[in-house]
Amino acid sequence: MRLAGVSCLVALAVAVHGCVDTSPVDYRAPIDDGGLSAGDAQVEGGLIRACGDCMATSCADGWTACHAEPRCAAAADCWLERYCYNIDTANLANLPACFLECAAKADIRSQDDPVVPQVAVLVRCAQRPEVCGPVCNVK
Amino acid sequence: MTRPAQTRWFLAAMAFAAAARAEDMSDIRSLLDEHVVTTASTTAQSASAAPAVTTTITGEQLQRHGVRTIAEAVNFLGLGVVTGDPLRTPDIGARGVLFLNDDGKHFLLLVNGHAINDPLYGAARFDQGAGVPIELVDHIEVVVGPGSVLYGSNAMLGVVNVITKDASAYKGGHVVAEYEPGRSARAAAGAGFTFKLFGAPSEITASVEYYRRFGPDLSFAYRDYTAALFGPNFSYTFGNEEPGPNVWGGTLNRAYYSEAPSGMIRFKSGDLEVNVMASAYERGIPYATVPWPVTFDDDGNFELDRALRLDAKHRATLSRLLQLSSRAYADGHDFQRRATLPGRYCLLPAEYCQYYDAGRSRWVGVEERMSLNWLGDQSLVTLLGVDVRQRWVSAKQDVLDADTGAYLGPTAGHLNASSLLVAPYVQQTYSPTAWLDLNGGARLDADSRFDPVISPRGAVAVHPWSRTTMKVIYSEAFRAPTWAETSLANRVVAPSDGVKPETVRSVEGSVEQGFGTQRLLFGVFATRWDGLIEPTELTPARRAVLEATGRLPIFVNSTLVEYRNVESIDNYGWNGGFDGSMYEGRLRYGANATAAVTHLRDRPSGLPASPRFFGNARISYDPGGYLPAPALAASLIGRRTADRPIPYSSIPLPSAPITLELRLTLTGRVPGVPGLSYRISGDYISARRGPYYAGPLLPMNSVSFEARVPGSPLVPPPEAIPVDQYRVFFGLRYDFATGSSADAEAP
Repeated sequence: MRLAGVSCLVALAVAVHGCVDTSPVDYRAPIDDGGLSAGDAQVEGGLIRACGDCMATSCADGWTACHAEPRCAAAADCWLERYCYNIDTANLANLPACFLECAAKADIRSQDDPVVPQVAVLVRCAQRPEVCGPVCNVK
Repeated sequence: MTRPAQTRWFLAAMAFAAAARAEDMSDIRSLLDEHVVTTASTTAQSASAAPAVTTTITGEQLQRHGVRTIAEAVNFLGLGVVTGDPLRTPDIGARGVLFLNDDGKHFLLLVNGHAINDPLYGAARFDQGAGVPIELVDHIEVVVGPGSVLYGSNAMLGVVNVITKDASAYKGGHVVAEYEPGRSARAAAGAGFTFKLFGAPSEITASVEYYRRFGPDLSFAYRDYTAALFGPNFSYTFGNEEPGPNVWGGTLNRAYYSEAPSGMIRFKSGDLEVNVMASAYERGIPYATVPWPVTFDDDGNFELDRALRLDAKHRATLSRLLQLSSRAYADGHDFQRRATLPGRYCLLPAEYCQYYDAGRSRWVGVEERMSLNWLGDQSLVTLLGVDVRQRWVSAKQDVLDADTGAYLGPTAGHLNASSLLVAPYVQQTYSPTAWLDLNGGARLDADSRFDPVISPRGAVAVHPWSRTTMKVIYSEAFRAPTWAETSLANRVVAPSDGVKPETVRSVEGSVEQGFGTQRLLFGVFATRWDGLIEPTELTPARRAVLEATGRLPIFVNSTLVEYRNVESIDNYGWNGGFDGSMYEGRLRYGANATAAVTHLRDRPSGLPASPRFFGNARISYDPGGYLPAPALAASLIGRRTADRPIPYSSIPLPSAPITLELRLTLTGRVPGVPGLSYRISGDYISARRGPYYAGPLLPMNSVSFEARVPGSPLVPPPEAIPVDQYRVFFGLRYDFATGSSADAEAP
């Protein structure tokens, strides 16, 4: 009898559960970014390769760990191909569309995605002036 | 003995006998007036014997004094508790400690013993958002001081337990309609009836209520921030009707609103009791607060609570010695907030951006309690119990274009977590003689989110002579950090490691004396608060650690905060109360006062918006018959500091003035219409401005700003929020099918 009562309570709680949706949104970034990205003359001139080489050597641990995880690798390579590590992480308004498109392509929909810490290591590596900033963070 | 002498003795004897009878009657009346409380020890006992300072506010008092919320009840009728009104949902404090924008986290709210505070935010509402139709309230027990010994988290300032009416006190049908011109309207309906179910005496009480606030209009002076900004690129637009960019203020006529439907059913049959509560509470965000400069007077800015609660209890008396009490409960609570801001503030290209926060809590639990009445006369009772509770929470934050509704970025602060709480407790009461009551107990809260917390309490009550009680109480309480404080990591909040529960320790002593139908209480207290959790700016070192461990999200603002145990408070003072009645209870009166000194241990300032002195007084007279019963209540709140300093300046804001609120209420029956009664109430508040300040705090470089304008900030200081000084409401109530008690029950 008591068990039945508790079961009813749980059922009620489950019913309430459906009230508010707290799942992450399926965000699709806009197409046009307007920033320096793949296709610009300066980028075609070798910055992409230099940036990739720098991260693979200067941040080898992070690079290797990321490429062991398919989603992380997809995002990291996409950002590199589109020269999209040159973001301002302190300013959401300046996040270029390519950055968010690559994240979406790698199925990274939320900042608490388990992959985010891995890609964050590479983003910071690419941004720091003392590491790969000079070749990856050219704006 | 001569005849005149005999006559004198006879008259003297008669006079003495009459006086004695009167004294007997007043003693009987005083005993009848003695409130029986259950909250402090979970067993029924007189308030004077309870192991905590407890005030009982009766439903009759609520009706008589035109009280419509718990916040009003404690302000006008309670001891040691006070609320502040930021035009959102009240802050509640006690004994000189009131935390701003606290959402009731430090007060445990119970309804028929069922805890309301949710685990994600720790929130409880003390206005219409409490979700209890006020006509259904039988009485409110207000326990001041730490109360975790039996109730666990949140009971730091105290416990408010709302007890609803039995069917015998709510018999028949009841309809209520109230209107406050230009401000609010309320309608309620309910019924109570008794019946037999499988031979067991059974009853149902039910009530639904709908409340809506739609005013009044409130004015804020225009404030031009242009000179304080760094150039045209930093233009802000705060709303739709201001005279130009960078100007904040105007008249609020849309955003100061709220809407609160609620309902409750209580079913009893034999030893079984089931409570079902449902409520929703939407309220506007009428003005900009720290940290968000929401658009001015935008009724699209709101917060919404919704809750559904179920509580089933069963009591079984197995023998003269042993009583078992079982309780199962389940709650669902969700919260939503939409806050529209100038797009530049969000650092987004949209003209207006909107933060959408959503949170959801569910919890189910079982509480088993065993009471051992060793001697059969309640003089030696052991209470053993365990509360087992499983909780699930989830939350997120989205950012949208306020005009198009399009998402401007991926979800932030996504949280999905659960936790198990196991909390055994024990309480031992012992009354070895008629003049001594001892109470000791402790509760262990073992939560998978933090180290176990023990909350002990010990109380000694001595009754040295008739109707005198002296008490000494030591108690501890805690507040578990909410998930919003430990685990939410979004665009402005970093993950907070190692946040521990807040703790409070209190020593208090009191003397209570009854004489005739009067009661007098005086008490002193000293309280020490440790590890209070507050948002603090993330240090570069801490940020580096979070970055190095890959725990800081990429999409964050440049300024981040994290929650930490940073604040400690020392607090001491006194409180006193007096109440009584005359003329067979027709005339009732009372007064309460509290004075407290509160020090932040690491800062020279006091707690903002916390009054050092506050109190209330009341008097009512029931002439009987169809004559209206007048009731006057007053609430006095002493000077309070403002809720924030002037931005980027060491100049303090002016403190809020002493505030006196007077409420005169007339209640009575309408002649010629059995069952119909009325209530008319007028309210006057002496202060024009409250202790809360409104106005945006813009993200500017404070160091540069101070350098440019030393000692004379160009940032317009925020403005104290206006107070609605004059209010009137009137209402009608119709009681039907109540049998012979209909007229007696009407106010």
